[in-house]
Amino acid sequence: MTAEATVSTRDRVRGVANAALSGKGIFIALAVILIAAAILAPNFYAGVNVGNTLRRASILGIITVGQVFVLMVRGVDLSVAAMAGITAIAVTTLDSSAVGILAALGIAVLVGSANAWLVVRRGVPAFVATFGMVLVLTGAQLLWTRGGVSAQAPADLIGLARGSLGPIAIPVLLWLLATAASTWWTSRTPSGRRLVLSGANPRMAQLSGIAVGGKQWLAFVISAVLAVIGGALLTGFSGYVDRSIGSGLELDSITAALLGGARFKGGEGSFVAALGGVLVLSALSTLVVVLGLRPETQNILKGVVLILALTLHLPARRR
Amino acid sequence: MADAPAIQLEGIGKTYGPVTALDDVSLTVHRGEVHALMGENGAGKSTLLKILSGVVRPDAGTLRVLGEAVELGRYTPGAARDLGVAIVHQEFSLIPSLTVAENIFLGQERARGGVLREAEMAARARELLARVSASVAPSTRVETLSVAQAQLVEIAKALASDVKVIALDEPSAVLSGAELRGLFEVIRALAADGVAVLYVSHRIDEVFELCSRFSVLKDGRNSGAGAIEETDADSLISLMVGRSLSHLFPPPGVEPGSAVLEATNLEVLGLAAPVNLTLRAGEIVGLAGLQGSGRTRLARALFGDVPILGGSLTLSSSPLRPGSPADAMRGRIAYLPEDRKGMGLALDKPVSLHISMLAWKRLRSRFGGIGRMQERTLVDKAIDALAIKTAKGGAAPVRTLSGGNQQKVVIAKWLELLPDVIIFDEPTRGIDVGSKEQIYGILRNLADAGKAVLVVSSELIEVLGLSDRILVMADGQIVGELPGTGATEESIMRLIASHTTHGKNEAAA
Repeated sequence: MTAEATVSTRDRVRGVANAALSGKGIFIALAVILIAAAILAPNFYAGVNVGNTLRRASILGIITVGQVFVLMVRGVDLSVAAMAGITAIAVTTLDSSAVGILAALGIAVLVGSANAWLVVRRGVPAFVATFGMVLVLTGAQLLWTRGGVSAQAPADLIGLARGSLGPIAIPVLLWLLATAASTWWTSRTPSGRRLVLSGANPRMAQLSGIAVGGKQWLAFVISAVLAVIGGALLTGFSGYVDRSIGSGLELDSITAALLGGARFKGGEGSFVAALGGVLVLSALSTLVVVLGLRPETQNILKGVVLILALTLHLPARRR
Repeated sequence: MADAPAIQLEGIGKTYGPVTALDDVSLTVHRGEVHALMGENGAGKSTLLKILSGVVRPDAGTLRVLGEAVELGRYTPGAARDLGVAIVHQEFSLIPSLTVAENIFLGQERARGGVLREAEMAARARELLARVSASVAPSTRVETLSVAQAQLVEIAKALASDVKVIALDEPSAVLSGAELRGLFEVIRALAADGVAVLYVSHRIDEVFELCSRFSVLKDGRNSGAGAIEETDADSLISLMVGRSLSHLFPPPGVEPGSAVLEATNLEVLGLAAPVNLTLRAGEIVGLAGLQGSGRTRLARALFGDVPILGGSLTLSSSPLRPGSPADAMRGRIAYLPEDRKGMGLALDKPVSLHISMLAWKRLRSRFGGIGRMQERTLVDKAIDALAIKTAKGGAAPVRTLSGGNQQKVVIAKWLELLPDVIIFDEPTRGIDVGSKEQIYGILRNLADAGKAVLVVSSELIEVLGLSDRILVMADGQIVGELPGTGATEESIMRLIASHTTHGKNEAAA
């Protein structure tokens, strides 16, 4: 009987941890981190810090919105960082930012379609298909720039990424817009809800007249397109482009999406909670910097959070 | 102690928090008998089985195995096996990628010096397989076996240790008629060898065919026990639900009207012969046949989910060639799949999402989205109309509902298509008798409301009780038609038997 008691205590702890680290409960975790930051590092709340953290967060946030879509249809998109990287090259090497973004959007539709084709038609696991796409895109990036990736960001993108509309930073505004639109679309419109159901139970969706493959395609294309927007903002925010631009965004976006309640089994996830997940990751990164810890600490911290998010999302083992 | 019962459970009680699963339940199974354990879903059958297999520890009660008192505090699955108590669960515990022999000896491999004695195990496996009349080689991979063969291997695995008591949990749920006959032979042979067999089922007909004694559970209590020959179907059902069979099926309220869906020489991928059938408004047509006879395939073809190769299909006199479920749905055909959880529901999604999904287009608000109030009204109306046991608003995940209420959710969803033709594939599979009665009432109301209803079912009692007309399938073709009144289990089985060649009926899915 004592064994049973410990099990249920452990379950309860797990339940609380799960609630705090997934879905809307992520905001509790965020509050804890923000309070801890106020105590540990008062200059965490310096105006520059907050502004920069939010701008940086919104780039990850926009990409995470796409990741949530893909996770919803039982996929995962590892190619978002590479797509952002390609965008950075496009906007710095082509005639103007506009042409660059248009070209990147074209590539995004192709990349998203290719990912979806592999996953939907060929049955390739999304991990493998999109990882293959990473190699293709990074290879293409090197070919395009003949290996020497290094450029100044175009002035208009810098203006966009560092600019504000009234009191709100433009990237943050775009992030909020993407989150709000996605939330509304998936919860209040037939086509968005069908996408969710396509992931929740594809066979049921198909037998209910839903074009499941089409929804999967849409999710991958949305993800690639949002990666372009994220990539363009990242270019402007950084001010320069190098080989490593965007790297890490794929894992960060998956972590944030998982923290936001998305699951590999599909059909789950909240864009609002994913926003919370992004803020948690960003606050942690900033905290590491502000506290003057070695930058490697950041990776350890992120890794721990990712693993925590993953384990909490595995279905509890049945007795 | 030769005459002591093989299993004697007395005064068993088990509560899960505030829920009483079992209350003062007793069960006695003698050596050499096939004992039916019956009851609705949730009556406590599976809890009792789990106690018997040592997985769950009861709060109260005693257990004697072959007369010897067993200390329940130390009764683990391992102890159960050592005492010769084996359970064959509904979900198979075999590992698909391993061979039959490897599965049989899993965890009790024979080895010398750390090296497996494969020849010895294969020989022993062959013996065990012969005992259950399974015509499979020990070296076959389990994943290549049919469901029936896997079930036999499962039993062979149970027999690998010296088994005194074997409990089978609803084995018939996955087997067709011929396969079931084979299993019955095996069970009878085991009983003849002196093994006590506990056969868990809620199928009345097979209990009468196979078992000599029965025990019925209702709401976690004993509600009756005795000899099979001293009872009948009606009283067994009364023991399970407190109602009798004749009240289960409501009579038709209307005469069949005009033909709604007509198939003429319809060639369906995977079926042996072209199909002719007519579904009329106001009529329930039963589609009977063994598993693998092509029933489901035909139903899915009418719904555009299995390719139609030729012939003609007309819907209200206009031609129809559904290439996808979406096509069929445009023709107002609804199909409720047999695998409700796997194909009919997204279990983690709320009830409301399911009920409203086919009506979303009609629920547009001014802003282009789905109107909250309109949706709420529609969902609440459906919950009322079908008496679905869930909170108003339907916010609960479908997973939390009972099987019967889940099925009602699926029905409510499809009614929003405003269908003219509704195809039910195993409408009451895994549903307790009480909910069955309600589902039958709903089906009859739909027919009375002028819809053409096709019911695919492997439960003959259901087909006979429900149908105004019965189509019988065997070996991938329709082999006969019977009127609803006057048909019997025998007349259906005769039609099937006259067309079934042994062993061939596994081909079509």
